[in-house]
Amino acid sequence: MSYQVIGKSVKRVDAVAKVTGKAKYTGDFVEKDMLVGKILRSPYAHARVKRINTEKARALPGVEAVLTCADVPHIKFATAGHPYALDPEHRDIEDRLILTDKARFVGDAVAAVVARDELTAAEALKLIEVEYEELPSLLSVEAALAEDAPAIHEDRPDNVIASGGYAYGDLEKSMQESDLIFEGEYETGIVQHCQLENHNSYAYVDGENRIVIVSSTQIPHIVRRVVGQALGIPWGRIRVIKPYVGGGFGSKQDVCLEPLNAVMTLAVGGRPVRLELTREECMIDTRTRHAIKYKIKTGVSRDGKINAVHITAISNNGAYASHGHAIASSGGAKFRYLYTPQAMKYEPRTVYTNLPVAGAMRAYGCPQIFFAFESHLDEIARALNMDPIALREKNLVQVGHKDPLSDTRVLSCGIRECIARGRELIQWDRKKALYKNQTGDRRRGLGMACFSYQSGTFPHNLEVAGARIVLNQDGSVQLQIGATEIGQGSDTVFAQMVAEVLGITVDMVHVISTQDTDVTPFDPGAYASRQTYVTGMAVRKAALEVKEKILDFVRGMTDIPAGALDLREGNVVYAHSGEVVMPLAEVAMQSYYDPVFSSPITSDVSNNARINAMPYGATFAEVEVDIKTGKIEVLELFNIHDSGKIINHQLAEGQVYGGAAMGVGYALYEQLLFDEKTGRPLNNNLLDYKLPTIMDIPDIKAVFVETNEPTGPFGAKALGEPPAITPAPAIRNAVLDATGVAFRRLPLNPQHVFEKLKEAGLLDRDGE
Amino acid sequence: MTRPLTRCGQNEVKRGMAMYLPDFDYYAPASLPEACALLAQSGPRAKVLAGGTDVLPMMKKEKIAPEILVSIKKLHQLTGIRETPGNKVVIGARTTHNELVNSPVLQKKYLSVCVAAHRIGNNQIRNVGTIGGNIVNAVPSADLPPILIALGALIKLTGTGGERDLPLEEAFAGPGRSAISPDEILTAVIIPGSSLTGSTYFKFAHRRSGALAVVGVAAAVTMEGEVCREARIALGAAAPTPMRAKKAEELLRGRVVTEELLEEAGRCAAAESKTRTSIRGSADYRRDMVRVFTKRALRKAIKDGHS
Repeated sequence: MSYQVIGKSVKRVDAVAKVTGKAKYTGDFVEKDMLVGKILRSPYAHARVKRINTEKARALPGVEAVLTCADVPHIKFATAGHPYALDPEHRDIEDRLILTDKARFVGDAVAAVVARDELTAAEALKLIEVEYEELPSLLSVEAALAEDAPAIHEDRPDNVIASGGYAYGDLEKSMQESDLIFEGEYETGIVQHCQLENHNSYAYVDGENRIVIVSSTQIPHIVRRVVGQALGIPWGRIRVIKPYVGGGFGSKQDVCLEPLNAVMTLAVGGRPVRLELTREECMIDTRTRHAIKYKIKTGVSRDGKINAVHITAISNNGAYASHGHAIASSGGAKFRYLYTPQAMKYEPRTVYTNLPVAGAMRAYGCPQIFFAFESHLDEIARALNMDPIALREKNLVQVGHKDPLSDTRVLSCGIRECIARGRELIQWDRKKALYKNQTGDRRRGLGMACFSYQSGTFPHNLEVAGARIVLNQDGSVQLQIGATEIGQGSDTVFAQMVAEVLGITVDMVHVISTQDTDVTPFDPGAYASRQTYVTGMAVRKAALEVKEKILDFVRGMTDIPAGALDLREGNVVYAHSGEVVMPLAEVAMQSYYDPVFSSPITSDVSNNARINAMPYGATFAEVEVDIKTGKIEVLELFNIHDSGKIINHQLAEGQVYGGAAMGVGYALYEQLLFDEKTGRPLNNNLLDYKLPTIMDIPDIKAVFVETNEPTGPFGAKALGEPPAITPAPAIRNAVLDATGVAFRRLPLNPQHVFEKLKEAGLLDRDGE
Repeated sequence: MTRPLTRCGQNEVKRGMAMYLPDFDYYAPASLPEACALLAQSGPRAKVLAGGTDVLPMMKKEKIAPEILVSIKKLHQLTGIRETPGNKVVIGARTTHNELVNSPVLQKKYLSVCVAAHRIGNNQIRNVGTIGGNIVNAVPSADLPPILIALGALIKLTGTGGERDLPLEEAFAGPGRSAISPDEILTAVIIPGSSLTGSTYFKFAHRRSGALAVVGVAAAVTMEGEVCREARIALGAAAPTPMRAKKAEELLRGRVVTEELLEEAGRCAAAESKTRTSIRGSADYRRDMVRVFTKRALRKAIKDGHS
């Protein structure tokens, strides 16, 4: 299919606004006499708040309000950015209070102040006297699961949030029939999103007594609902506005600030209050990525056919459920579409601990499970003396595969082509031969890893999306979506879709980037790599409706049957010849001002995408390991993606660069560290938390294998999150190739690598 | 007494708070004697302000709380890098890291100093941070002291009592504590003329930019054919202060250089080091890295000259 705008690297619709600084983010909006809110945080990982004395803080000049647990609604609510489930069984766990009377991690919010400025607010925090009764802190999943462990939440006495997995096939039989059984344990670390723009919001009460919240969020419509639930007020009394957002990566797919911000403004008679976290606060009291421990047992035939896979996982969720078990469970579900063992059993358990709260983060459980399984596969390949590619090729899914546990079918799959491209680009065969039998201080190796993912959350969650289009007088259109642009480029992609359908240029599509729950159509927001695929369907549907109305209007003007007409290059044309009938702008003017037939053309649609599509891909990495120091250098990194038809190559490449860089950080650099005894964060700042800089990231190559996904708008599948999934296992497998040592824990920082190489005997007892 | 130029800081809150500067008086004396007098008068209440890349963040984090900051930005004699008779290189204390990096004199004579300066912080830091600050703050992981000590540098100090030169390696008393008296201002760093044939600095850190050294190792040598006539090894982040690895140096003097000898020197330096555990690395790992990088630094200084 040939397209005019789809597939072209058109300029971002917000490029000029962002480059010139005209794009307004939450922090750029100023209300007159805006007050400032600040949070008092627990210094203990687990402690009951026995008493709080706020008298001195209240007496400080400039302090407008001091809030404790007793001053705010005492309603437990869930924070996760999921669509509301009508089925109570399927709802997120309601375990959070706006301010708590029991601290469950270092940094938990126990009180808050509103003051005339930040300095006064901070000084007031120091004047609040809190008496704590310390409780034993559970700083690991083992501690939390110990028999005599205290309950972090009273209604979960065993500290287990949930343990639902899945199974199909006869696992025992398939294991027994396998020639070889392999077992391995793998572990990932806690990392943080580190998006550029810290979490911030401000709130006030408007003239109609409604609470208006402007927030840097991925999920404005969900924020509205959660604030309503947390405050116990009708959802319609809340209006959430989302301006430009400086990144989220899932940390803003959660309601972190807004309920507290709402009670803050209510506490000061509705005057505007700003609540903005510092980076240090952001890194402990928004969300983190779950650390997960896996045990994998795999039954394999001698020729490399995987028969049976048994995975157990323990996911460290931290102090509150947030997305809870959804992450461990979603990782396992998305993983199911890559290989096709006869039998599989996945048993994850998600556990509360007294650490910061883990939630959604780019690729939602997949970086963890693919690190574990793709590492495991390379160990199997070595044992079988097989090339890691050959082992995978033997087990890959085929087009037409039907998921044994749902109705989902794989209708497009370019994983084989992705692997073939990677193999060729990195010169796999030549270098593999070259790097055999290395000695020396610096050794090179090649590694690869594959992934499967999904486009949105169906059938697990509702996938509804709204879009609205208005044809303007000049033949341009306005596009409104409930989906949120947070830097990923969705506004541009939607504009391309509309331009394609209406035969106009992208600059004739004016995208309203701000979401306002009073105005924009309903859409749950930016997550699950859903917007191009799911919201794209709604945008396409809205554009087709406008097109139909335009052609119908032209029929009224000209008597040419609508079926004989088309829209091209800003004109209404004869479909068969391209002969121009009239400019679109003329139709638009007539639609507005014709004395008899005036009827401005608009569409307002919603689309419930009861379907999903699987994107695929692979990372190929070449590394050099400095045996004497444990330092790993990534020399080359190819990320090859099947995301169906690519709507905008330049934006897609940007997603891959960012995601793969995040994957490199996950593999080699990043880890949030906590004091083993107290649970205090040791590196919740960007000096000590080693996010790699651009100088540490190799020259990432983004490659696309374009398939045509029949269910996707214009053949597209998801892309946003997947680039972050496989760099870590690919790099880890390259290190295995270089050194013969199987690393099973992330990150592979120099000290960890050095110690393990020493343990493996590559260095003598003195480390030489 | 000179009047403060301004009352700075955003608040009257004495204890300050995270990420806000507490109040202080700001002076910018126009002459060195005036600056020294001010420091002598104020004692521990005052702190010298140069680039501010260390002092200001420490004040924001409430690690130090000087009531007075004495800026040396008007003391123009503290700038510039020049060669003087006797083959000395004199570097003004206010010279920024990027001025070191881009200095033609240093690039020609001691490229190793440029390389070390280039590994400090990030470009923004290097544009304002100074050589003097990197020394007087006495941070154990500072990048310039090891290479300057290896090159035998002296520092020039001016106080109310006059001027003195001090070997740089004697300038440190402990982590964050220099041996410089409170009324003294570091005015210049002097790299004396020497017969050293090569020098280098290896910084081992968790990323290429914006990171403190896990260990830093500087080596300087005088080679005569295959024979090492003089060796100086200085370590950063390996002890409470920058330190010489004197036993390792002794081992090398007068010996024909072999791989085994360099390895032995590495082991010796590691044994001399007094590493400690922090979030950047365990004491054991750091000791291992002292060994590895001592060998590598020596090899490079021997092979590649001042590099």
